[in-house]
Amino acid sequence: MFPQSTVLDPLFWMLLGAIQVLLFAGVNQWAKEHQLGMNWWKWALAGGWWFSFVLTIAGAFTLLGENEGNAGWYFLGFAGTLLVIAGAGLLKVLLVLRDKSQQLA
Amino acid sequence: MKKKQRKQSKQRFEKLASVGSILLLILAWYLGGLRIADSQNGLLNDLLADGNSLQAISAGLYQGHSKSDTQASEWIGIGSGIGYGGPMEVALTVSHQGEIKRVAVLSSKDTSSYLEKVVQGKLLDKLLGQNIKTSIYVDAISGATLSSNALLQATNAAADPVRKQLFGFTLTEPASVILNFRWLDIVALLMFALAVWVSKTRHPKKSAFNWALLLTSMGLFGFYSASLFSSSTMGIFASGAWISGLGNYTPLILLLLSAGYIIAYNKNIYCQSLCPFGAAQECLAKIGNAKATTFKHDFFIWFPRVILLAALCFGGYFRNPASFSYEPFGIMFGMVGSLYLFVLTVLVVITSLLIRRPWCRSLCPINAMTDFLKFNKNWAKQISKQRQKSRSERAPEGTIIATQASATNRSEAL
Repeated sequence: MFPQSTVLDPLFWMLLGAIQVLLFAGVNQWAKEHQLGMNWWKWALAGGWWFSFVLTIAGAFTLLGENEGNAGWYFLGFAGTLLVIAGAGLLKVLLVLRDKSQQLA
Repeated sequence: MKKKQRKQSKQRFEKLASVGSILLLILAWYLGGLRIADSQNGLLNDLLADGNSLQAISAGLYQGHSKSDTQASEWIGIGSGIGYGGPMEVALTVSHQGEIKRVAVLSSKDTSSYLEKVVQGKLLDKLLGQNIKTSIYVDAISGATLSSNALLQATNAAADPVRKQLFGFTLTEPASVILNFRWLDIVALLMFALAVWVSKTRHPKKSAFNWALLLTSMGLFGFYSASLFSSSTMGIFASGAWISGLGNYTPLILLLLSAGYIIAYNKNIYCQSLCPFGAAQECLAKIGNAKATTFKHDFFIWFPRVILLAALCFGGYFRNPASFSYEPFGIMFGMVGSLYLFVLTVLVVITSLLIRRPWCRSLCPINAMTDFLKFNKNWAKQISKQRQKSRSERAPEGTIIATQASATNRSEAL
């Protein structure tokens, strides 16, 4: 990431890790506000989706960095689009389940 | 009053645009014909060894000989095969012993990405060195089977006149166009008939039937065969390339049925119940709870029309409508197309999650085609009505009297 420095690299990744904690804490709060009733499998799906999303971006930019321009853009476009669709599907499932549980209550 | 004047001037402009577009297409086609004659001669000369000159012997057969020697040093044969978008022409240079020395594709109506696959798969290189005494065969390139088969068929057809000249026999027979029809073409007819029924029925489950049709179409004409019709199919139809044979008739059948139904009933059945890309957009709209939006600005009406006209004109000029196809269908259903089309497909797919059928409402050429057909049909109707009116106005009084008199005579006779 920072080829001229030995300190900035670990600092950068530690900062990114800290942002992940903030992100999940924010998502937890948002899910509570929208009464999504998150349980273990819903968290597993949401976490899995986020992990795949991050991996796709990392993979695509690694390819771009290795001068594999076409492969990088195709990977980002193909896997990224599938993930966006999967994300929209996951959100729909979460909202539908919330509505159903509210109707039962 | 002003509104009426504006409407009239708009109609006048649309009439001019309609006639102008037809004239532009004819002009592009004519200029393309001039260009192709020049480029083919150039390609044939390039096939010859340095210093040799070309002499036509018969249709599809040329002789190459050095300027000092009148004896033929090599033979050039030209033949054609049936590709996805129509005939593909190939020229071969053959030695006296019957060995293929050089191969060139003179013209092709296939999508350039498929042809690139064939060239990258080194199919042309594999042909070099083969002897034309026997039928020429190499394995097709997977993912570009139709283009590979067309190239092989054209190579064998190109070898035939040389075979006849050198060895006194031929190996290929002209294939019937009917052989190019497949089971999917019959399915297209059936699906269209079902779509007509669904559009007319008042069954309570009409919507479910329509969904079933859309999903089946997405599977069959989309992901299985990628044979949905596009601007290139319109170009192929306009060019008449389909008469001599096509690798895949399904898109043309769907186009003709849809256009015929629009002309007869003013209704676009294809987009409503059969379009695989429309089905994909509908599925995405369901996932993302997309809203139906209409783009009312004139730009969204005229821009797709101009793009379609440009694509058809360039397709006609370069005699290859498939190369100027700008729809995301190839990428969506077969991952075939340029990076620009890939970006467009990604944009359309993601937008489909938020807006219902964004492609259909913005750039789809089928809307432009539907508007063109409907407008010209109404115009023709208007003209025939005006003619009838003026005929009845012009009819002399005597004619009416005569008919009245003949009618009274007839009743008296009865």
